[in-house]
Amino acid sequence: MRNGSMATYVIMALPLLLLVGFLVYPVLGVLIMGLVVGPGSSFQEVMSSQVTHATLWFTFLQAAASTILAVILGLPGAFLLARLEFKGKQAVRAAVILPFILPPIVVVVGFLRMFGSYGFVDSVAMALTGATESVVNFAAGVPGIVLAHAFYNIPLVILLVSAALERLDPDIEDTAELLGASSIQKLRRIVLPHVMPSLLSAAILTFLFCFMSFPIVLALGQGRYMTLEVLIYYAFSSFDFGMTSSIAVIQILILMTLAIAYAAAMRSDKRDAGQTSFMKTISPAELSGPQLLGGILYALLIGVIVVGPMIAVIDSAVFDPVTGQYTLKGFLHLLEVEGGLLPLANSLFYATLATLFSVAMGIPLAYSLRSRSGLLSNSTSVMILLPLGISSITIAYGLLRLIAVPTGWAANPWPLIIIAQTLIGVPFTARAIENSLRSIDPSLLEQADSLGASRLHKLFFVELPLLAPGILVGAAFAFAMAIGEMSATLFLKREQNVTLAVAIYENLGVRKFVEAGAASLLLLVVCFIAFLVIQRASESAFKGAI
Amino acid sequence: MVRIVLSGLAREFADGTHIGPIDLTLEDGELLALLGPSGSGKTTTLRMVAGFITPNHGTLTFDDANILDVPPRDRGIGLVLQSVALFPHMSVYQNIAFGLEVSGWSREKTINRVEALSDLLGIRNLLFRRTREISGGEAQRVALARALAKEPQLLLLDEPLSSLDPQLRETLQFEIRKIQRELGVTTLYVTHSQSEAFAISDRVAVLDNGVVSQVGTPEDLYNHPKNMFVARFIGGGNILAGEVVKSTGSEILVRVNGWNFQMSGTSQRGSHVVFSVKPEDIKIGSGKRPDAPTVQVVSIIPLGGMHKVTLQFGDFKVTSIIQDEDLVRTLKENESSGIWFAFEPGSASLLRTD
Repeated sequence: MRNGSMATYVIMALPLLLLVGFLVYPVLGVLIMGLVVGPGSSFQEVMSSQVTHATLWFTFLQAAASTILAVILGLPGAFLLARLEFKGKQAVRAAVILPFILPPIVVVVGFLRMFGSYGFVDSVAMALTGATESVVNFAAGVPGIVLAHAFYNIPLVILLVSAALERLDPDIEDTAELLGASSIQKLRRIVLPHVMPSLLSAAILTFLFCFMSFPIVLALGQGRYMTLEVLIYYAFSSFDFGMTSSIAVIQILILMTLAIAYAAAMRSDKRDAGQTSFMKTISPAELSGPQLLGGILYALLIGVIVVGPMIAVIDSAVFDPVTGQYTLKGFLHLLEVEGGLLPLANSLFYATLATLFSVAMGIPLAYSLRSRSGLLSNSTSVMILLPLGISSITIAYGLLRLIAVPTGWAANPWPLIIIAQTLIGVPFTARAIENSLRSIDPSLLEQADSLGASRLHKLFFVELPLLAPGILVGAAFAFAMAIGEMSATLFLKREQNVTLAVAIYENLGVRKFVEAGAASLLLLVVCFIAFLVIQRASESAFKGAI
Repeated sequence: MVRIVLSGLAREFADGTHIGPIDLTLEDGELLALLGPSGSGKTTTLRMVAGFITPNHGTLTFDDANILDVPPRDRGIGLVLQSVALFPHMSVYQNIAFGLEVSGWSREKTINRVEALSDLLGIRNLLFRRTREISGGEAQRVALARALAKEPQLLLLDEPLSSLDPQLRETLQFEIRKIQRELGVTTLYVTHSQSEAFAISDRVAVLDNGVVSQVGTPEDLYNHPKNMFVARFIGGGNILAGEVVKSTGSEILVRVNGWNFQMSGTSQRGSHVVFSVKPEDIKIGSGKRPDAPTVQVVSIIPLGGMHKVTLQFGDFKVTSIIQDEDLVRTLKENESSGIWFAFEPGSASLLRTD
């Protein structure tokens, strides 16, 4: 904002103060409190404990394995999406963001039906081997965890790397070719160095997400496998606050390092944009036989890992694996007050409010990011990066001990659930709106100025309408994140605060699979609608830009 | 170095656009400019020669040897583009050395070659800079050095100077010309700027709508355009049309808007002809002349030392370049009437009317 009056600074600083009050203070406070007064294990005890070592080791290993798998399976997709011209490419490109906004617990349900015992893959394997008992179960233990993480992160790799490939100026490739470079030399010396920063960003982000993964590890790890995040949850459940804080501190230090590395990788990626209109693409007809076969096999593999679980969710809503029959029991359960209506009402209520707050905070934060005041824009970008480095469970832990207890909300902590979901959604709204803000042609605002528009006129009739697509995208993201949020909600909730996502987890625990499936399908549909909103809004933003 | 012949080279695209057939010969060591408006097929032609676009018809020979089946990187071509396309993650040195390294030159030979080229182009001091730390003009020099590193037999330049400012463009035109002469490398130079084509080339091929409209030296094209397109595009010339009323050996009399004009050329009596006259060959004066049409002044635009006067002659607009300040003053005083124009018979060019 140009006229740096007091009022605008106050408006822009308010969300920052709220973030300090509800994120920085409780988290920092609870960590110190846990370390200093406990009660429970001391930091030294936690650091020397076998459980800590094993968990830390496993957290690293599964994150590394997931990252490697996502990169290996994502890279071919990135090249295909960038270079191959095929029917329905636009739809595929759009659909790539769908997995991001699916709730992890819904993905777990889909995975159990797709890869679990007697699931789709298992049925095929049983038919092939003629066995009557379950042959394979990829939805449990390490394979399940790593595959589910790949489900989330293959699309991430595809998205970031294909975008970088499309930015590669085709003139550069032609020039390299004319200078005598073979295909391999071109790939090694021109293309790979070009996509390396994006690949690095994608890999770091994948590692980071897998490192603090909670619902997937909790549900598929079956208690035998734990990440630090799960260990924090168990430590808190057994009232060992010393251990909770100690593990959280270790986790935060690692996550912060990764988040900073990610931010650095993103910065180095923002160079040398080529003309994308002139992208070098080929049609499937130009592929050789083996190349075509490879492409088809790849598409099948991705179909099984990424599309399969989403379709399996639909089946799991009506198929009861306990009785082995199709049934509407799951949907009837959704119509009961305790089983479905209350969690649904809770989910909608929390998610709607969290979305409104995220947008309300996201708009001023987006302006702060663009602010010419270095202090403001820097502190905002740090604040927006914080949720990448502080896990949901840690946030919930801080809110519960330092906000709920003094305010007396502990008996019915619904405001905390909304606060936690808002904190998780804010980075998305702020970034989406900032993205829109960046694409507004400054000369439009100068036009408005020169036509005599007042500051408010300009804001309401020029800027906000131009920002609308960004706000809508941010809101849809925030809503999908909030309604699918399970970690913080599970941590904070009391009996009456159960949301659909938590209900799914609890139903899975008592082997009410079809009930969990029906609720998962409902969440899937809600998130799909959010996805369509994002698609439409960003398409209109895209068209508006031309 | 090499003599290039394009004959009947043509390419259709999926969207229905069509380039060619193109017939063109680049003599050994010649710099030929491919000139035309955007969309006329200049870049497509260049990319067919480079091998990035495969033609549907026609032949392309380098020294009488068919080259169409040879992949781009084995054609011995150096390429410089408007976008420069320097490898962003490499230094200037690495850019110039790239072609040498991928074809397995020894380190010592590579260094010597890069140093020699950077001396030739005056970029020795830039060798260890990053590509984003050099200016537009320097980047073009680096791109040229990179293209020349492997001693190509053919140099292709696609609008290499279009994104530079006019002064720098002139300097680099001169340098490219000088280096091209020194090395004697056959060169195809694509540009949409007539002045650039004229300044730099031995011959110019004017492209219109995917085919070569006329090829010739700059003087040739300027003084004797063969058709309306070339006359308009090259000379900004006046194009008039009329009926031949008298034909005597090497001269004809053409009636335009009820006025007769004498000009050299042959055509049958009664036929319709189109001809062009360069603005500097149009003479104008105030008052009335019985043998010249009276016209009205549409505009007078100062061009620094000269004035461009546009006249309305029936349906035709006629422009004239004049230097006489007194005449300009007179024209401004009685703009509406009493102006005549005329030209010498020898200064009109009859145009093909296909």
